[in-house]
Amino acid sequence: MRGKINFEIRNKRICFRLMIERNITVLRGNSATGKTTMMEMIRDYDNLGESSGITLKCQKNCRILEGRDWQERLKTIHDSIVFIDEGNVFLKSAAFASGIQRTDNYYVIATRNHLQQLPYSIDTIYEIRKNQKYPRFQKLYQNLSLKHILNSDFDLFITEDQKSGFQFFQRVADDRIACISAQGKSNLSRMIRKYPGKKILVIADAAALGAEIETLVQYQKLHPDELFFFLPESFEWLILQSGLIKSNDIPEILKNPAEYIACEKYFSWERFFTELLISHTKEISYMCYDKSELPEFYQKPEHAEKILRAMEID
Amino acid sequence: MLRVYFGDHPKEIYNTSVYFNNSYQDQWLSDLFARELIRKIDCSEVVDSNVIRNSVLGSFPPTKLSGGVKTLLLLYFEPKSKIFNISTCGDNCAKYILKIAEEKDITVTLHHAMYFGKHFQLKVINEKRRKVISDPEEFLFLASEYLRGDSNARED
Repeated sequence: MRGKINFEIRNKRICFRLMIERNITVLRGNSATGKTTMMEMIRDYDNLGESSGITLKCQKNCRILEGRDWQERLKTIHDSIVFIDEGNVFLKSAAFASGIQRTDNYYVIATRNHLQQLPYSIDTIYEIRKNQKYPRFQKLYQNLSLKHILNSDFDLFITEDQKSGFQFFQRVADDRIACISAQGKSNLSRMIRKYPGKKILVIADAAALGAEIETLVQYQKLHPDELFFFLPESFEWLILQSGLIKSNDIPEILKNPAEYIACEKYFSWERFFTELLISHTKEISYMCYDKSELPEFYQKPEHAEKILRAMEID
Repeated sequence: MLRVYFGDHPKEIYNTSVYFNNSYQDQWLSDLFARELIRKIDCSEVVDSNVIRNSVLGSFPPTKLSGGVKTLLLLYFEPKSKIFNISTCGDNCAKYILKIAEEKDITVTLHHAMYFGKHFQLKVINEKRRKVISDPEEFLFLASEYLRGDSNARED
């Protein structure tokens, strides 16, 4: 499955509308906002169809996944939006994380659990707000990332990446700013704690940071003058977005990635952007992208500046 | 005192909603504190022990209360030996969890970093720790330490 999917479910009393943009969407937020009510409506429609009294508008089938036989049921579901309510203990399992990979479904999961085994984006975590006639889905984390980091006065860069991204930001940091790698997103919060009192910029891929962002944001609330984020979709996305790679199709793809990224092939968007960058540079020796060793081309000051400014481009 | 265990606990009641549906008692809804929880969190009024009402859903039974309120009612009414999963509660339930724990020792499991605000006291009991924690930063980092790692991913 690919593309953005509009979903609407309603009965005589309530209506939920959501645009589903990627393979994994997570619903969190306060209690009593309507998450379970929506899940119950989907379950009723899944069981009884229109005779449930519920109206569902969606170009894909909408299914509920729950219970002990979830693995058997999942095998029968294709090209659908799969909804999973909290209370399903399998959500945390390694079997679930591997079971939904390479499937052609999108998943909407209502849970506050720390799902570190799933690479979901910070942009697909929603809460429901109730301040209008009908509940409204709102992204839980918006405008977290700085767009301009040139000429800033940070003491320390902490990168999630330990390869090309780290090499790039280490060069950018020069001798003015210390730069260390957390060697993975799950180590970011542990690393931050080692440097109290320092002004830190955390550099990480938004595409797969969903499980970690809650802790990072809570830490930022405690230290608003010390912790800042630079969260491009991924480092490779940043290079593509910078315009350094001349191509007719890249701008089109970046304008609406969902239309190009098949979820059965790419569990996380960062993998797609890495492949895209590699495929567009493989014939040009000096810019041939290698995740383990960043070519000098990308580190030249004028090119590095273009890459750093890519977050400013809408 | 609130005793928090991060991650899976062998005795936890994980799906508190189903447990509530099968174990709540009519008289619970006559209790003033229970009615306050339902009013403040679910924006609903108890009409009688089997009927609750709000402007969106109309009249509905206790089984249709929110997952957060169901968990709070279980913490309040059930014996303290029961261990309930409070990740079914949003941050808007946190102050009520602390309030219940002022009157009664409760042990809970937590599968995310709930925000308890800046002023709280609780014990994190993973690895037989028994230290009282009142520092949000210490709580946050214990949460992130205990909630990560392969040991926290279920095998089934």
